[in-house]
Amino acid sequence: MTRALKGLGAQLILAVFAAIALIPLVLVLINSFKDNADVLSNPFSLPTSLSFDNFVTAWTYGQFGQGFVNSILLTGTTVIVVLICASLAGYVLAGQKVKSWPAIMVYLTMAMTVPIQLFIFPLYSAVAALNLTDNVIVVGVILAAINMPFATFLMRTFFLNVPAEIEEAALVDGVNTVQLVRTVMLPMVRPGLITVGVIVGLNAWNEFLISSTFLQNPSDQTLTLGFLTMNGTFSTDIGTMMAGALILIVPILAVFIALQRFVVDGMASGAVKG
Amino acid sequence: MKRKRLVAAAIGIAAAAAITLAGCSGSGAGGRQTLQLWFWGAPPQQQQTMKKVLVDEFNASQKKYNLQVNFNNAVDKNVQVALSANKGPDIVYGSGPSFSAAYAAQGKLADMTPYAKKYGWEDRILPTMYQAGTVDGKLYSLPNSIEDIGVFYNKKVLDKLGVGIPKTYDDLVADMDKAAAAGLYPSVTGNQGWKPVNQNYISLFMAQVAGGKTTYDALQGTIPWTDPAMVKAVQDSADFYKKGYLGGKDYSTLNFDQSVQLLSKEKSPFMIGPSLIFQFASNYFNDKAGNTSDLGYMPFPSIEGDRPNPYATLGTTASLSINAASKNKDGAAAVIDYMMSDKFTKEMNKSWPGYWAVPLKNFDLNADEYSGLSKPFVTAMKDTIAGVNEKHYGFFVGTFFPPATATAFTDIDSVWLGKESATEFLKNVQTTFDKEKAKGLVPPIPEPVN
Amino acid sequence: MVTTLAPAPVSASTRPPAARRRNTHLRKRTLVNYALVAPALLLSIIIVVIPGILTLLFAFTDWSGVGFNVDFIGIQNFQDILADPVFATSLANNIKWLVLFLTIPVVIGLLTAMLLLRRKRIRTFYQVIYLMPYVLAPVVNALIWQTVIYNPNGGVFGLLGIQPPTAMTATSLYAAAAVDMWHYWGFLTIVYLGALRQTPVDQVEAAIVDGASGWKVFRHVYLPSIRSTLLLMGVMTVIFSFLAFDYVFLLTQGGPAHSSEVMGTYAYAFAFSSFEFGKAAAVGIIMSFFGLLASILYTSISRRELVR
Repeated sequence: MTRALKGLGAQLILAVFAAIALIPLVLVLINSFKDNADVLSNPFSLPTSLSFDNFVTAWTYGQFGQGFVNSILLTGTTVIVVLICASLAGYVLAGQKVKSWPAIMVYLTMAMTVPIQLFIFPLYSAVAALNLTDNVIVVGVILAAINMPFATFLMRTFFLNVPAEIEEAALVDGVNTVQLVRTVMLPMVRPGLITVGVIVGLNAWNEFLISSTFLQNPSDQTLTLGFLTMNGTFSTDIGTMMAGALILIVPILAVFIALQRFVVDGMASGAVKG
Repeated sequence: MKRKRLVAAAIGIAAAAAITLAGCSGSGAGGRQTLQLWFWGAPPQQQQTMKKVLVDEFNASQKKYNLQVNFNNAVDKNVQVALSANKGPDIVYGSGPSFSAAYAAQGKLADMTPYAKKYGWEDRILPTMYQAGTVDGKLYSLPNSIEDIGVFYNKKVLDKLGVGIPKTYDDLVADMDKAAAAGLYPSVTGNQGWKPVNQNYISLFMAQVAGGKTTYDALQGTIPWTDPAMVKAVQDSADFYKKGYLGGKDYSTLNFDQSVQLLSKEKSPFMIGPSLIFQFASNYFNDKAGNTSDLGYMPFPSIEGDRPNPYATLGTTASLSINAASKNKDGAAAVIDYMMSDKFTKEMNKSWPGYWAVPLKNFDLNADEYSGLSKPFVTAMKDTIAGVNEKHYGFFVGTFFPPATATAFTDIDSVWLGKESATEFLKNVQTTFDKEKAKGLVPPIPEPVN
Repeated sequence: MVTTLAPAPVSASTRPPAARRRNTHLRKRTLVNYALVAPALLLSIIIVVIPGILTLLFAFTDWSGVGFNVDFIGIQNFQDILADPVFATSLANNIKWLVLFLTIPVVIGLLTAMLLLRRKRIRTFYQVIYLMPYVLAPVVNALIWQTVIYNPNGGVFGLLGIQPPTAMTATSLYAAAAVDMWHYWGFLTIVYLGALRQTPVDQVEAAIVDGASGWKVFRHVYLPSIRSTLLLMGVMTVIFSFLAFDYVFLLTQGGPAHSSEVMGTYAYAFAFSSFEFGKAAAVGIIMSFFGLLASILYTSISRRELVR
């Protein structure tokens, strides 16, 4: 009897938290189809008709078409740079292959404590001097550098999980380091690569402070920045804001759900070993 | 034979290339130089207006330059970061003379005095506003529009409450009490998303209670900020806030846009704020909703009996300067000249009231030529300029105070919310102000009479 | 972990060549390894450390953030900041943030993780839902809450006629923290669940057989087993609490009347509102200092764990 109650209690708790996670998102969904007057009267009411007006306004005003392209370029750059650098570094650190590995670990930990918003000035001066502002690729590289410590730690953890015998066997076969990494180690941490790629990709896609400073030209702005721009103007047009939010949310959730296995498993195992 | 032809061909190609390249020097369509202006994130209709009246007109009026306007909500931050790296737009849009003074002190803005001579700006523009943009006698910025702080009202709501348009400060307060008793907001306004909105209200009270002359003296350092008149002004503003006369309980969750919407929905009779609110008004008071004539504007009624009524709180919505690092300063000056012209202000005010009351000496816009909300706006600005010419005005913090001092005044809500006393607050202001005065960051301001 | 070629037969005549071969091979290995680590390090150093050092230097000047008029003023920025009551409020708020994030999301995360531990079939479903707020941009999350929940006109609070918490000085910080916690706890659920699944099953079963109650099993078997994860997440939380910025900036800008000010927004105002970048840099140094303390603590504790 108590067992059943406990089971029910557990299900209830899980469901309540799921509701907490979902309710704001549901509010976005239903209100994006509503006319602003309807939203004002009751944000919880269901839309009477499925009008796409809000979406069109949001898409045009937020320049989401161009924004999508820029976001993809930015995120792609960040992910590629991070995956290459962090996986190589993670391999080396996991195997303690350089004498100074503890120092490097300490450096990486310290690099994570740095408040980015204050580095904007010197960084901007340098980038501007090289005439590289309004360049999505450059911002991608900057974001890669910022995400590097966390990504390296994660990759290191994945490499730690690779049994030593595999590496030793390969070495006995006489491969050199480059071949070893490329043909043996990297394939072994493929799930790790995907996990890190998704997490870093999310960070880059969602970033706003650095992007807004280095990308001034409207045609270079990312999706996230386009949405932020809408805020000042449409603060009273809740329907359009929600439509804009939905346009941003849907692709992220779609990618996430498609790759959720990697994200979930990766986050779980990656963070465990520390 | 063959060789000669080859050489000739090579020279021909080189020449053609050189000519094309020369023609294409500088980016821009058809060989024009590009001029950039960075502006805040104005709503779509207003962006259209700007494109039509500013960009298209300017581009059509000459062949050398191609003006381009970028709209971005983070323009203040972006301009600052860009100027710091000697980059940025050719025409620098800033929040006012004091910000320009800070940039000018660092050599980031071009000296516009030669252009002022060339175009005759000093004769064209209201002397008080012109002087504010100078540093050591050299012109660094021009104010794009004059601004005042007044009271917007919804006639329908006043009718419902059974009151007329308030004529005195006491009337205003009495009407707000009536509104509160009827379950409405006494007035709507708020600083959500932009804390500097606070500056409007402390400026208003400093002007009305302490007076423009007192404020002027404090800014010159002749009297301390802790002068009893100032303390009273600060305290009075706090009392005003505590009684709910500034947006009721919702001051920190409303912004101007939402407030105007509430005003149009008859949730309050009044909105106290700067004249630039007109630009938000057209979203909610328009012919489509059929309520254009419901909106009225009056200058804020004098609080102290011996001050002339109305008494303006003078400000500018923005300032225009030329980037010292610009490669096209002449072009930038030409754009600014156009923005300071009769024609420009007449056209802009047709569809974008509130932001473009260019402070011309002869602001001879005929209110009858305007429809909709532009009509009361134009009338209001003419009255303000008349008051300025007679030297009766106070100062808007955001325009005339040096930057850190202005930021210190933004913290006035600490006094409003009872976290700080008026005297402590002004003591902090004094410390910050003294540092800036020592660095020469106080812009030259016009001295009012009282 | 470095393995080498099969050892050459040791004899007086052949040793030197073999040793030399091994040495050069080792050295080449080390060089290659350094080359592998280099890109990550270089990128991080150039983009993060160098501006960081410059910022450190600026903290001792009165740089306005514009132009090159810089005067060295020693520790005056720090003195001014430490004397500023707003700084005390910000620091206190960061500490409140820290306490909030070390408790509420952790409890929710552990609770939901434990509940999902045995329920294989619904596990994926719930994990995906819990992670949804985490994958969305702070901009999106903050604006959603501000527009349709905290809004007195058209939001949930408006509907209920309650004054939104962002408007009141007593609750503004918690209003911002609530949104960040909503966004964050799903991540902890996933991480803790992963760690809990690594607990050796025989230990758990032994404890149950011994008659331990659910709570005792949790406390004496699961909890110690996930110690290292709890530690890592704890340290990350501490570091990020001192860097808190996004949600406060987007929702309250530190107001009303600085009640929700955190060091991040405090520094930002110096940099971009009052042209006092020296002060902003000084605040940044202080923020990093706390984070550094935490990470040093973590490194020493985890080193001890390794030895164990």
